Amino acid sequence: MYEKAVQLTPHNANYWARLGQAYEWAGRLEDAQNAHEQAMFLSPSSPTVNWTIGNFYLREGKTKLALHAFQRTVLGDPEMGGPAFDLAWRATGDGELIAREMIPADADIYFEYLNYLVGTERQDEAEKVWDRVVELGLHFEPMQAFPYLDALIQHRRIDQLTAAWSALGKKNPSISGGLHAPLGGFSTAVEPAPEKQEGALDANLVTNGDFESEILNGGLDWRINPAPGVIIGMDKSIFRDGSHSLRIRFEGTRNLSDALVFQYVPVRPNTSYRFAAFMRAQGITTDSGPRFQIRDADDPAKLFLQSGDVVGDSTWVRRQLDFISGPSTRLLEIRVVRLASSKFDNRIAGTAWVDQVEMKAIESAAATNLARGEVHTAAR
Amino acid sequence: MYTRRAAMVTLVLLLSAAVEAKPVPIGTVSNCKAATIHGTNLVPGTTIFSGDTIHVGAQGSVWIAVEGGGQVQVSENSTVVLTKSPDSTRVTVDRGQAQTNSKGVVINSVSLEDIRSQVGAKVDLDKHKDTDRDKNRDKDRDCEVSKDSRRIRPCRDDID
Repeated sequence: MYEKAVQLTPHNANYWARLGQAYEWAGRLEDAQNAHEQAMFLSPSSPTVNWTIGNFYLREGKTKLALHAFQRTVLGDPEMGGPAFDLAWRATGDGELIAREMIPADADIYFEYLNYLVGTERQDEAEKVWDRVVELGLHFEPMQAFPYLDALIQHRRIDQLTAAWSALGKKNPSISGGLHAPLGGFSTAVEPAPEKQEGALDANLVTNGDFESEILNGGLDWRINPAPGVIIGMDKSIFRDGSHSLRIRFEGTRNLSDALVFQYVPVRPNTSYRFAAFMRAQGITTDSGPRFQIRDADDPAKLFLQSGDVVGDSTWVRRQLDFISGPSTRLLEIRVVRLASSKFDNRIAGTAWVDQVEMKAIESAAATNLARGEVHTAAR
Repeated sequence: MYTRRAAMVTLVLLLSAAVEAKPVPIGTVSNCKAATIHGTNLVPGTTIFSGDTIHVGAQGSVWIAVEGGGQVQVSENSTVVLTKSPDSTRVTVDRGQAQTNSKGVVINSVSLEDIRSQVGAKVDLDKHKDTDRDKNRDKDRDCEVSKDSRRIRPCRDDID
C-alpha cells in the first residue's frame, strides 16, 4: 500500500517512513533503511520521521544514530522528551552516552531531561547533568532548577545542594543572601585569607532574609505554606530595614497550627550559630501568635528551638536563638509558625510582619551555655 | 578435566550475561491510548524490549507489532510484562488481559508475585512495579503527544 503511496506522492516523508516500517515488519531491512533515509532526506527535522528512524536504528543496533535522531525528535517536539529519554535509557542504560549524543545544548531540554532523571530516581546522573548545565552556562529561570534542588534536599545531598544553590545565585543576582556564605565555622574547603575569616562568621546563611527580593517558593529561598485563613505576601509600606518586609495577615477564621513560611538552611555539624529576626504585630488575637522555630530537617528531636510569639500590638521585636548544631545536623528548617490555641476563642486574626532574618555562625564561646538539641525558648 | 569444565561453564555464563546485558527488541507500538511504560507515557513507534512492563489505564489499549509478524493487543486496565525467549515472545499478564494473532507469542496469566517466587526469573520485576506516576497519568491521557500536525500524531491515526 505504501509502495503505491510513495509512487503517487514521492515527496511525502511520512509515506516513506511508513513504508520503512512496513518493510521492516516484512523483514526487508535494507529496503526499510533506504525508505527511512529517504524520509529523513525529505524532512530532516520532522519529529515524526526522526522518531521512526531513531527507533529503527535502535532495533538495528545503531545506537549513536538512534540517539542523534532522538535529539532531533526532542528539538522538534519537546513534549517527546519523556518518551525519548525513557527509550534511550531502556535501550542503552548509559547516562554518559545519552548526555553526550542525545541531549542538545538547550536549557529547556536539559531541564526536561534533569526532571526525568529526578523522577526516575537517577540522582547520580541528575547531578552530572546539572554540572553540565552549569558548565555550559545555559540561561534558565531559577524555578526550572527547583525539582532538582528538591531532590537534593530529599536525598540529603547537602554539599551538592549548597553548590547548586550557589551556582544558581551567581547566574541570578536577584537571588540574595545565603548563597555564597560558607556554612559557618572555619573549616572551609579553601582556606580563606585571615581578613575573610571574620567575614565567614558574619555571612548571613538565610536567603532573602530581608525580603527585598521576590519570594521564589523553592530551593533555599522562602517557601510559603498555603493555608486557608491566612494571606502571606510582601509589604512595601511597613518594614524594619530596606524597603520590604514579609506580611502575614490572619483572617480570623481558623485556629491555625502549622508552619506559615519556612526555609531550608544548610549548616555544619557541631557548629555554634546565632539566629536573629524581627517581628511586629498589629491586632493579633488569641493567646497564641506567630513565632520562629528552628529545627533539624531530618529529625526535630535532634534539634528544636522556638522563640516567644508576638500577640496584640507591638513595635518591631527582636528574637534571638543561640544554638550548637548536632553531630549529624546538616540541614535546618527556619520556620514562622503559629501554634494552635486551646482556648475557646482560638481563631487568630490580625497582622504580623517579619524582617531582617539572619543566621550566622558564631564563636563557640558565645554559645557555651547551650546544650545540643536543647529546646530553647527566647523570652517574650 | 574438572578445570576445563569449570572454565567452559564460566565462559558460557559470561557470554550469556553479555547477551542479557544488551536489550532485545520485541516489537513496536503501533497504536496506543492511556498507556505507560515504566511510568512514561507510551507513544506510537516506541520500541519494546524484552523485560519491559506496559501499564494500560482505564479506556486505554495498546497494540504492539511483534517481530516475526502479528500483533499483541493489551486491553484497558491491564499490566503486562513482555519477555523474549529463543523460540517465542512471552506476554505475562499480571492484571487485565492481552491477546494476539501471532503464532510466535505465548500469553500467560501469571501475577508478578508468582513470577518473583520462581527461581531464575530473568526479568527485573521491581522495576516493573506500577508507580503512583503510572496511576495518576491514567486520567484523561492518551497517546496523543501534540496537537501540532508537525509532531507525533495520535496513535489512532496510525492504524492502517
